[in-house]
Amino acid sequence: MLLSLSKFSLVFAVTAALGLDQAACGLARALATQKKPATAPVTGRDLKSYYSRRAFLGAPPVIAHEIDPDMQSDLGDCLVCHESGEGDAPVTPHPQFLSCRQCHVPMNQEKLFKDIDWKSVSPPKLHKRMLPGSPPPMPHQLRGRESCLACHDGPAAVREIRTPHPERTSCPQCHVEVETEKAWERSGES
Amino acid sequence: MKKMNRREFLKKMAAASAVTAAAGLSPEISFAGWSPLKVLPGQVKWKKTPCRFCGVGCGLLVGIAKGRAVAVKGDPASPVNRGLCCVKGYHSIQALYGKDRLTYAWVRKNGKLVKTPIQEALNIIARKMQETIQSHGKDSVAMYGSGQWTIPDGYVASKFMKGAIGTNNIEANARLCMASAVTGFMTSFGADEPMGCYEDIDHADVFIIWGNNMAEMHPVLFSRLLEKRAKNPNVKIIDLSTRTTRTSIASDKSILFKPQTDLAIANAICHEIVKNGRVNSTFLQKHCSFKKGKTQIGYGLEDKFKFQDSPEDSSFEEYKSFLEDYAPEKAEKLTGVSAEEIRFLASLYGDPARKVMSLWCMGMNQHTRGTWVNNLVYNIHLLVGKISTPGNSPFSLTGQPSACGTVREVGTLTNRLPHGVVTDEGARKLAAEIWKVPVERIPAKPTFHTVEMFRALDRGEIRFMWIQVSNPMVSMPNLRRYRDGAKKEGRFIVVSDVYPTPTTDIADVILPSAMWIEREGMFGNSERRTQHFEKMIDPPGQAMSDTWQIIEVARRMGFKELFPWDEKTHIEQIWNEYTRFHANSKHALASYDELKKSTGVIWPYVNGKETKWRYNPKFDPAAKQGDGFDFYGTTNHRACIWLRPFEPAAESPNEAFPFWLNTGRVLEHWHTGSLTRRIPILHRAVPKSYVELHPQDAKRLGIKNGNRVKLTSRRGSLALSASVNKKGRPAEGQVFVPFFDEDYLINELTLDAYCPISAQPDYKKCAVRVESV
Repeated sequence: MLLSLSKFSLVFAVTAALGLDQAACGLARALATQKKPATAPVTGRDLKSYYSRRAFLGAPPVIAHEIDPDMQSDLGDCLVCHESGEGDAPVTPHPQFLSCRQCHVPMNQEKLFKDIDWKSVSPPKLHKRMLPGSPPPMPHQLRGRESCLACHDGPAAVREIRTPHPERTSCPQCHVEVETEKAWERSGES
Repeated sequence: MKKMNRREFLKKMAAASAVTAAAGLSPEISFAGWSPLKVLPGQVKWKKTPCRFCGVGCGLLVGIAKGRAVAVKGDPASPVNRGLCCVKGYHSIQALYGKDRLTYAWVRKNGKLVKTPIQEALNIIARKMQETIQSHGKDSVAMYGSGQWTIPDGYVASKFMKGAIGTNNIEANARLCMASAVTGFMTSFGADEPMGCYEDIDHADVFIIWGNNMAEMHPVLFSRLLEKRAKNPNVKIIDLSTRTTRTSIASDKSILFKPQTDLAIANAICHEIVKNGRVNSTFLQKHCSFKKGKTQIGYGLEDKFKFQDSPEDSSFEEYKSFLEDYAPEKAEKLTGVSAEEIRFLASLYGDPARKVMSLWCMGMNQHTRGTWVNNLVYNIHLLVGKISTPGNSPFSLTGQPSACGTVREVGTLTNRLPHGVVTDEGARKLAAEIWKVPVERIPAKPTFHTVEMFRALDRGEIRFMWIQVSNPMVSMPNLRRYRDGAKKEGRFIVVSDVYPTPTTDIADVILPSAMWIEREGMFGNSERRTQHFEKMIDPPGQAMSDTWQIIEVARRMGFKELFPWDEKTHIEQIWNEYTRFHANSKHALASYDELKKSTGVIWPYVNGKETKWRYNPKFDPAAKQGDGFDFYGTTNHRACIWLRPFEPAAESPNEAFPFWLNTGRVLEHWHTGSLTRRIPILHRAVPKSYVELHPQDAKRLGIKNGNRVKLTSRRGSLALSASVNKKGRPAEGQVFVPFFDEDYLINELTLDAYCPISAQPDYKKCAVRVESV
């Protein structure tokens, strides 16, 4: 675990170092995270556990803890921990939705009813920059994830995708959604 | 202060549960996971479709890559769900990939099911159908379809049975879920389906939910209610129910009533509205008439039960004296709802400053007086004139994705044709003309509604039954009788489905069906919205769409000229033929091309415009222009207020069977679970059935959560584990069991009593004994 973490931090540091146009504080933070793991307790989630709770990229994650009383575990009760990240609770990127159990369900048993032949697209590669130092695009849609910092900052942020510059609040200024992998081609007459 | 305490409590709870979770099921367990396709997220193609599951009809975008469905997101362009889905919708595509998908046909030979090429299976079906007709007559063959049939499936099925073979032996499982809604609309307004649409939610101030756990059954619409309330604190949500559910908890007020007494509550509300001068007299005088029908109408428990109502004209004066029996204090004793609460409800409906939406589904429809209780809720809206305007809307919600679009609009029921009823000569002539068949071939007499159809199979009048997209060997009430009947010697059962089920277990031929986006089709949702989906991926193995299965069999039986369509374009051609039935301003449907490019179109669709509020000339071109409304479904252009009394349920608890048994769905599973149990996240959330008890009853009987409990009715018994204060809490003296689990067939206990007018069974009320085992 520590090994993989420091490897990621190294990637972070290298990419951050290449980001010559980045503000110094961002770089400083990235370097600070690089030093942390060896001593500081491990907090937050890693990508592996992040994906393990989802059926595909963009699927609502399963609830990974017990809920009781079941009937009442809705309507803002979830937000007591998941709005601001109480303890290690992941922060919801969409606090405007109140009927949490509409999309998120607990896991009461592991065994399946019948096996399933399920495939989906590979997770996106990290730090996929177009140019050295340029801001990486967003590999997912923004709908339902209006709050970027929910996953990219805070105690429960996903380690590998933690932003080095949480103080910059206007994320879409630099990071854009990938709509297509195709390059633009002129459709008119040449 | 109280809120702080609750927050603190929850935080403590969360900390405690994190520990127990760590000790038990590790949250770090590699749970979902997927085999990665070598495709980048940006290479996925997104295509629109309505969701496969409930009648809300959410717009989905399905991600397609390498010939497979790989992801789902809510379609932001859909006016239904505006980009949000529920957990079933998000994971719906996983139901395509269960490893036990039916990919080829099976035919029973010498008692054993044998793998058979589909073309040969289709030959066997055609031959068997012809032989049965020859030896037992046309009315010995039957088709049983579904509110999950696409519109083209239902259309070819109706044309095949009524136009080609010439029998009215066609029914669909929507009889079990929407028939009372239909007869309610027909008797009150003379035309089926809601006058309003989901946009009413954006305009209403008060939402009164009648016997529907909307938070679980129509979750996406329910979250629209919550969103509306969050923006406007004056908005009120009232839950009228027999069981405390998530909907009750989320509501501003939860009112519990005794089973069956919704009839009395509705009349008591009207009593108060009249007494307090809250009647909209102008509306009443211009747009309403009064009627009464037969009373003590029975429960349909006897074979060959027949009922015919004989409506008589009534008057406001007679109506007022009829309501005297429902003064709030009298109603309180019967219903268990306090007079104060009844007055509160009446004040909400009667307040001229508030726009009111009533919402309901199975609680009111699966009811031995289902037609009546639908009528009675319309009465309330008519008395105060709160109807057919934005936000004033009695809204009957649908269970299945195309109960409206297919079963109700195409009319895949014994008494119906794609336009009108079989008893109407004009409707038969129109069908004969469009189908190009002699009018005499379409029988003028309805045969069997669903319950009676399965009884006829048991009795031997029906010898051949073809079941598509339905699982009646889990979902029929009084199940044992109908399963034993279907298994009798000399019965031949064909089942088209996508997975093995208890219904395929009793089949003589199983046909593998192409499911949902493996073929092209249309669904029609609760708000009259028709939605098209294209074929996005290939079906597995030899699986074939239900539409094409019927066409293949019809052609083999010599009806090629009625089904001349090309395999590539048949859905478009079927749509063009079908829409001729509704080519009028009261029901006009959008063209094939318009459906293909839109996120659904609400009918009547006239001159390129949807009709969002029917009967209101401001919105509805079919309504006569004027300053009021035009309820053009009835001959006098008036909506009907019915004098319908309270009558008891078919079977009520007594000393030997002291508990009410209520059955229903859960958010995580779709109907009989044959699809959703194969979706990992859904099965893992609710892996098996259970019985919910009230904590006091549980305590008295010495039952704790998870203990085995045996339920016994006059028809059978079943042991399941107890659930106390979990998903729902029945009132004292009641138990609730979901019906999704084929290993716990609760319908072996339920009663096949039905509403005599709609013939829809009541799955919500029968009597059981409860024992700890």
